[in-house]
Amino acid sequence: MRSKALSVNEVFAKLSAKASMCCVWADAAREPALAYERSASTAHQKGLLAQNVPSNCLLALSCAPGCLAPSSARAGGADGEATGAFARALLAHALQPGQPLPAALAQAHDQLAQETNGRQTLWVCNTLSSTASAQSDALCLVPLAPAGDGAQFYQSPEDAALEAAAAKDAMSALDAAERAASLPAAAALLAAAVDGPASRVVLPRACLVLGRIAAAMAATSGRTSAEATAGFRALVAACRASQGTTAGARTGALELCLNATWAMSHLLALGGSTSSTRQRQQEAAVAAGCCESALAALRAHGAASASISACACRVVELLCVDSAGSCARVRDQGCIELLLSTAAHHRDGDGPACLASLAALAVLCRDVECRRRAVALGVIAQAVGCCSSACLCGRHALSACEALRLLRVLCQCPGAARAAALHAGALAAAVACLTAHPQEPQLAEQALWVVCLLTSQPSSPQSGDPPTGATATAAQGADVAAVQAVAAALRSHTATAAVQALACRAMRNLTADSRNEAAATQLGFFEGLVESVTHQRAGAEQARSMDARLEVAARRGAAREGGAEEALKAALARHGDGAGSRFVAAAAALALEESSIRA
Amino acid sequence: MNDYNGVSLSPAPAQDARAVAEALGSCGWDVCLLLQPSAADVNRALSNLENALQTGAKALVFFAGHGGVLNGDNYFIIEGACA
Repeated sequence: MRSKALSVNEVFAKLSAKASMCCVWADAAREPALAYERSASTAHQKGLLAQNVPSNCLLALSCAPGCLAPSSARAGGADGEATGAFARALLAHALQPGQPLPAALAQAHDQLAQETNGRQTLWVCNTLSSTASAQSDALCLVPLAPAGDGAQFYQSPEDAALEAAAAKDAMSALDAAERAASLPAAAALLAAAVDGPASRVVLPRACLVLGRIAAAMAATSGRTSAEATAGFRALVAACRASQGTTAGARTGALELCLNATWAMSHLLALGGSTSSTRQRQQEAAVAAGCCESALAALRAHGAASASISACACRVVELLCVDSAGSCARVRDQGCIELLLSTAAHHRDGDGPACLASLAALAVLCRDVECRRRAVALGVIAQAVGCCSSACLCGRHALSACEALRLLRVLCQCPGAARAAALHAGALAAAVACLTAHPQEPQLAEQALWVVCLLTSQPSSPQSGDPPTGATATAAQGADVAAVQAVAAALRSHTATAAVQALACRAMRNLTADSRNEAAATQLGFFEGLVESVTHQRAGAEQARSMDARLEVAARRGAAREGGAEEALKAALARHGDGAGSRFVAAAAALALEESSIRA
Repeated sequence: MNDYNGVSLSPAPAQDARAVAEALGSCGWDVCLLLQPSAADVNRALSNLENALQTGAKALVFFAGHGGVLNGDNYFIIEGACA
């Protein structure tokens, strides 16, 4: 049989060495339809078997191992063509642009089962790399990149040989640079690859290596930013190459763009959190043209690729943290519009593009001009909408958290944004998030910040302090649901000091309104608070948060309850000295004084 | 493979092969379509593909016809009786 047959293993052996993805679609398990076919059939016709395949390979069988496809399932399609059900299912799904092959085959499997009433099962033996799934087109038979000018990529055998030789050398050098963790070497190789004979093959890999070195450096204490300038320049050049118009560059455009923006974000992150080192890193990146590259990537691929969007947004975020210059630069290039569009496009779910675009918007909105433009373009409605979606489906807590963080920034800053947020229903959205996601401490913290800020007097929005004076119009705008949600947050997150403190502040604001105070009393909030104070086992950080609790307890409960007074004395004894205790001591003393006056 | 030892498969696998080749070609793939090839044709085409394949490229082989298993290995049956 061997001389008249082709071994599937031989196919894989010959092609998998060079191919990044090698697929075999086997429509070779046929049931003889007619008597004379059956007479020609042999013992070999028992279908194919599931088998091991080399790495980055996929074998799709037209039916389950050891089974034969029923001949009736091979009836033609609607147009009368005698195309088999297996081929129809494959062609319907596997050649969709941007569709990863494993996902496409899952859909083809379902179509085939439906068409054959379950008698034929598409079977897949698959070793495609799971890491490749992060790269948008690595597993797609048809990339997302547009056809553009229709130019065909042609490479002569001589050019192909030249490219292969150059690629081999460059890959070896890149491996050496990565082993040595040398950022300058990787940057130099990347820069050389931009115009090199093997740029098509080497550039994506060089970006990846540079990014990996930067990530490894950031993870160690020995981080440095002095060598980053050359890396930024090379990455900007790689981004430009990904937007080239030749078909050769376009074939891997998405992969190159993704790798370059990803590496750029890691190189920027090398600046760390210290303002001076971060500023140096930002200046180097801006001078190299990273702002323009990130925005160009968003513009070109923002809608098509969530991964590229996420990386580009992260670059924008890192470039603009505490940098008015970068904010102005990207704002003038339409960054706010791009980020809003990205957030809207990738809005459903907790995907990286949604989270990164909201985070970048939050950073930009700290700048007054950016904030003004973002509000004018509807950023508040978008953030509120994101929260509402997360509440409706009961999932997507991460995106809701980022949207609340964005609302917090908008409400914290002076100006019209806070009033616009209140008008747009941000308070109700925050309360709804608290209710829908009761077990998420980070979301609770951001939601409580929004509640604090929107129930405080406009004169003191920065701190979320309580309303001053007898009238608290903001607090009156909050309904009993807010009181219930805040009380529930206090009960649910006893181990999170920030949530405890913010819940106290929020309740303090809310109870400035008599209806809310009655609701809080009915819920037993104040009794719970006194009990919580009594049993608090607090360190310095938690002690700082207790000033608000004690104040609330004093104002609402301690004066009326003998037990509360004892609790305050106990708290004072426990936190009366030591680091961070002055707030507790002052508040407790004030409470006791108030208590004795009332008594 | 439409025909084995003069016995035609019904319906014809060649229809599937043509459909797949046309679809891939329209998506920008370089396609080599072999209809009713000999074993030598297949081996030659596979060698050509192996040589032409560039590092990092994607490769896809679609076979429509009869298949079988020998000593635990999967085979595509190319021509004639499978003995």
